[in-house]
Amino acid sequence: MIAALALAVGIALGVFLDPDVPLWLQPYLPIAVIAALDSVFGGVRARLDKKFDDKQFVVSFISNVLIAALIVYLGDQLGVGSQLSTGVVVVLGIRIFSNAAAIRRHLFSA
Amino acid sequence: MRRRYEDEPDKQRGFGPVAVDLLASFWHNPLDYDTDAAKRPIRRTRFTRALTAVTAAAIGFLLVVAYQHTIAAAPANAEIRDQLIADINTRQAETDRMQDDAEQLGEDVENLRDELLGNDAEAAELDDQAALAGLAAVEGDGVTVTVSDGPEPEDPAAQDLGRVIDRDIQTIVNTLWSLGAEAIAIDDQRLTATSAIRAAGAAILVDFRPVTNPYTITAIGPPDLAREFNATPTAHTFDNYSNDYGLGFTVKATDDLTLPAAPAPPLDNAAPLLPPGSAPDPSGSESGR
Repeated sequence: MIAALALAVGIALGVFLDPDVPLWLQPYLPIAVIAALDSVFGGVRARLDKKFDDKQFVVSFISNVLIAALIVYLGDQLGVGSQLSTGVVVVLGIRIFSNAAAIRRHLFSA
Repeated sequence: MRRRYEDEPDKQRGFGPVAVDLLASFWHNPLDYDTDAAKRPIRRTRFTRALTAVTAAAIGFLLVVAYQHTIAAAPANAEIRDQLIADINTRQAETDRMQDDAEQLGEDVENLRDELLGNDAEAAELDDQAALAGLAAVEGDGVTVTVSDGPEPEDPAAQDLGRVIDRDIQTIVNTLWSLGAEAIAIDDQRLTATSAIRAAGAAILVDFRPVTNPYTITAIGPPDLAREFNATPTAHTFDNYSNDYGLGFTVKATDDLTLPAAPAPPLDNAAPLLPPGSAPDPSGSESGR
């Protein structure tokens, strides 16, 4: 509940402040979005599984974003940035889908 | 299916190769939980709840920023494009206006010259010469030839044979000259003895100004110009193009055509010969500019 409220507050902040994204951060934005979505779905699933752990949620979000950013940075330096970005999106995408499937099973038992 | 998954979350059915098993393990065990959650008690304190709230706020913030960034990037491109188009239109309008000014001034010069000459026969002779050279607007009966691109081939890689190219226009114009046309314009751009019809990429340029599909070639000439033109090999060739490649080609006799004047060509090297009796121009070749 608090998390959902905080999410709404974050969205409101983003709309209200409308910050500029610095150029050097722009390549990491899509990856960060995917990692964040993964954390949200993982968190919702864990909540429904009654296994939600604040610490795990926070740490997994931060580490996911950092590792995803690191992979993209490394890929950029090696000249395979887009390929590695695709890899990150695929892996996190699979997780998002399987978490969404688990949430679906919980909510609709289907 | 569901039972099996919940009963044995860690026991994966074998998918075969290791690489596939990697994906299977993603699918079946997406949360990196400890295998036994009961072993590790979940402590929720005020602090960890606050951390979660901050993280959730950060996620919401991130999503909105990414969304707005994506939204903002799209119109920026369109805006730049619109600006460029507006720039082009403004400059083109400016060019047209200056062209009109130049034509007006040219007319003034002609009128003043005629006044100075005071000799109607000589003035008429000069006007005729100017008209022939393309430096004065003319009117008369003649022919309108319209050529347009045929339909594009369905296979984008195939050569577009129905496309009008610069040589097509050159051929038609040369045929019209050979039939005795006295004035020719392409899309209202008057041709002179020094006009160039050439291609730049896919565009056709007449005197460095682009003309666009469909191309209208108007010519003033002898009374039966249209009939004579239709009898030429050029017209037959274009009829064949029209049948084979769908290229548009029409020839129509037109009365009361008005063709505009061509801009006066700059004299780079030549100087006009001064009439006898007038003082020699000290500035020499510069006077031509």
